[in-house]
Amino acid sequence: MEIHATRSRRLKAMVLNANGHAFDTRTGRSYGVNPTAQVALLMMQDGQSREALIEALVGLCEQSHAVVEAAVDRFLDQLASHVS
Amino acid sequence: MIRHAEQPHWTGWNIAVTGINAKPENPGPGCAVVRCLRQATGFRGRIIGLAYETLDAGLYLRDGCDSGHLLPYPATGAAALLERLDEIVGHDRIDALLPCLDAELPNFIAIEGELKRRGIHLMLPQRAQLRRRDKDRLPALGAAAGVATPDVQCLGDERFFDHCGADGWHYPLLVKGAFYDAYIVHSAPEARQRYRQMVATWGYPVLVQKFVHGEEVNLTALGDGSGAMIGEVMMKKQALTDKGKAWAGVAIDDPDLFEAGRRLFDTLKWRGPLEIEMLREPSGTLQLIEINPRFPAWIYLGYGVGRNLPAALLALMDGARPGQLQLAPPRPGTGFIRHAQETIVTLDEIASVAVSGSTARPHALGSRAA
Repeated sequence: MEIHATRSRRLKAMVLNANGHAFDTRTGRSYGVNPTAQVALLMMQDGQSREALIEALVGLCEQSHAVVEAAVDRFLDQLASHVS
Repeated sequence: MIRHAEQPHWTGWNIAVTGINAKPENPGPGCAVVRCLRQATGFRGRIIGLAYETLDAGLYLRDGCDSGHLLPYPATGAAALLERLDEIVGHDRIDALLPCLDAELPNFIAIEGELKRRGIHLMLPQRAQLRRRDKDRLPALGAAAGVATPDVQCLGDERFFDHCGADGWHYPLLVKGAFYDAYIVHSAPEARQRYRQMVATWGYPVLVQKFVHGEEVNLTALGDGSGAMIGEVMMKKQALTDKGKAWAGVAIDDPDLFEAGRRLFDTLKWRGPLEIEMLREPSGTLQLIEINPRFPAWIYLGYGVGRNLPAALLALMDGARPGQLQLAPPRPGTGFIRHAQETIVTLDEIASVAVSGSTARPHALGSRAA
């Protein structure tokens, strides 16, 4: 529960601008985020689940469920390593 | 608050600032403090630069100090400092003094009472508080505050470096001076060479600290002696000079750094400005590596994020309560890039400082501000 709250707080510390520049207000690190990942990041900051992300991106990107699922998991792995 | 006619609001004070040396790789904080004061709303006082070297740039920057004077080196002691300040205030009134260098603080603390009797406002830590954040005492302070800090010890013999591995001190290590400078060393010969260099430059003691890998994050804030941390500004270094000083940085809002700072201020009951330097290890743990008893050289970032701490410090000296200070909410993402530039100095200006110890002006900045 505490881990979830910490992760949520750390995700919310990411500020995303319209050009895909994400700034982590906690660590001072900056990232380039592509348009698909921007959608995913905003949904995660909104508390959406992995499954909801995949479902939304399948419709948005017109890709197969398996392709989107793999991409989302890669993104989540990257987030876990950077936003920790 | 009732004010006497001879006690103007701090914005009308004449403010003396030290640490106006400005070598690009390791500038003193003084010039940045002066720039903050120049930006303070309603400031119409004069700024008096106090320097130790004829070539300290802050003596000559035309948009900085209204006048400037040389001080005796800190090693000459408190009595020499007081004597020189008495000469200065004889023709250049000082209402408040902001010391900006670590090495001079013991002398200013020693003459604080004398200066206050002369009507000069100061906000300084007590000697015991200053000593408690010395580099060799950080582990004890960290333990008291519940903040992690790497092991450190004072050295009096360079042979330590030949057998330190057996005692758990594995390379790389950090060799540090008591006040300034730190070098990462990777072997006994390199460590011995840095040790001798440190002794030759700064004298004893020389410190050795276990090296911590991580990103450096800094916090600066004010203390009023109650244990409160006032107006904190947090910064992550983005680019470093050869001396490890920030020449680019960005404001952050790190709850862990805030909490570590809050605990350190509470433990120290600090009075005046303070800078806390920490390293964030890859695991996320913050390690306290240094506490500087003054504003940092990057203090202008505070003005940039709506927290003009030199102005806030003067307001506190003038009797304001922390809740009355004009401090904006944290503004992470705002950054700074430091740059060096040349200022043109005439022979007469240099000669005046070299011969008389004071600038020949005053230039007209004080009256311009008014």
